[in-house]
Amino acid sequence: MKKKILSVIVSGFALVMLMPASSFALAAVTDVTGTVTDNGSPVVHAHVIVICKNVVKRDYTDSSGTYLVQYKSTVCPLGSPISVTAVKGDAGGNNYGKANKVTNKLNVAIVNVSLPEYGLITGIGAAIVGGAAFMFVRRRHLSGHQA
Amino acid sequence: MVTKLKNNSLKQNKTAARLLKRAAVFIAIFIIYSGVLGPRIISHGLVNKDGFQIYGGLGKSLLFGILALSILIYRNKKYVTLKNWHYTNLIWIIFSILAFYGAWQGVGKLIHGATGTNWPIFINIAIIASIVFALGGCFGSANLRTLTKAYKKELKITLALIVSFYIFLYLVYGLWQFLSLIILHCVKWLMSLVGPTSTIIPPRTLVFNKFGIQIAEYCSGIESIALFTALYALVGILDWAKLNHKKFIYIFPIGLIVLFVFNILRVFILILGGYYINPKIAFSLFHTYAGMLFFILYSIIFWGVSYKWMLQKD
Repeated sequence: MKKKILSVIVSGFALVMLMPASSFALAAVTDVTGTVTDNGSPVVHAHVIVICKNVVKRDYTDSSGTYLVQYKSTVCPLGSPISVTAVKGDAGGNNYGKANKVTNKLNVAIVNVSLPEYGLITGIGAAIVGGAAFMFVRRRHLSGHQA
Repeated sequence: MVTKLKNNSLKQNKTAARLLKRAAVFIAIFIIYSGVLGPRIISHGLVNKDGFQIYGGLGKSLLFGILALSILIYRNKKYVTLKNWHYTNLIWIIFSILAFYGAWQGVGKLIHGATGTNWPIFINIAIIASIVFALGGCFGSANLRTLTKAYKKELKITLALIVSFYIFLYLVYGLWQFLSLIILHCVKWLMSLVGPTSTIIPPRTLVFNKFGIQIAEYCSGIESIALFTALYALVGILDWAKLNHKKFIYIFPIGLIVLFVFNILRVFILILGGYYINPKIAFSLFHTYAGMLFFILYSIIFWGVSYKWMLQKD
């Protein structure tokens, strides 16, 4: 009887000892954190959208420009691609990475100047070739008219 | 008599060719100045303050005006004796470069935190001076006086065109938020047809399950609209006598709408490429090239289809 009681206490103790480990295993998380900056200064209250394995999580940056979202490690396991988008008003920025460890740091630089529709060279190129296309069509039609 | 007329015509052609050459050099200097100073102002967030916001539209309008004036002069060649380019014109060019250098330094001061109104005033004067001096350097002050007298009417028309174009640009640029919203919703719908669903994060961010993308001012197609309008107006100036005026005017809004549809397709294809291939490559490397390619493609299709019809005088 004593042995039985002892074995119950021991197994109970073992169970209690094992409990945190199992609960820890269940709650294992992948953190994605980072700082959102604009010209090197932290951006407060930027809307941050983090995507890992098709699961979207959102957060707002705090007073130091930091955001944090947590995924269960089963949802966002190691090696998964992570995308972070930060938006503040009309400014925004992206960063990409992989979940390499429990806490993944992905900083985002917000840019309030977007890439132009045309760069200087491409704009000139578009204007010249666009104009040349017209001149080509014009020459064809006008020489046709004269003939 | 015939020989005299032929000689006059030859001289007119020579003068026009000379003028065009000098205009080409001036345009090159103008583009170099804009291309060097513009990005410095834009990338440091100075574009919307200190009076710099006027230069985006003003630069384009001025460039458009130079091309329009060149066409007008070419169409109405006059017998004007121009003085040869003299090395003393180089003094104007040196002044122009010095003024430009001053503007560059002034912008640097603003970037490093200079406040007050002195630097912005100095920079604005320096920018305008660099362009005016370059004009003097390319054409020569005596030639500029001669040309002003000979082409008074053409200059007045050009001035009216520059003002109209500037107002048009001002109105179009004011529409960018509305245009971006249309693109945002159209692209969301088009992407849902292909497969990927997305969510809109106000004001203008589209989030997919892989990345998010902003439909910003420069995705709204306003630059294409400005470029198309300029080319369209130049075509009008060049061929006004040959064109059916009603058709020419009617087809312009249709051309703009189809151009806007092309821009939606451009953004859609970029996002599609970003989704299925690589977002970094699609949005960084191909963003501006796609704009150029689509504009050229559109120009070929548009003029190929519409020009013959525009020429028909009912």
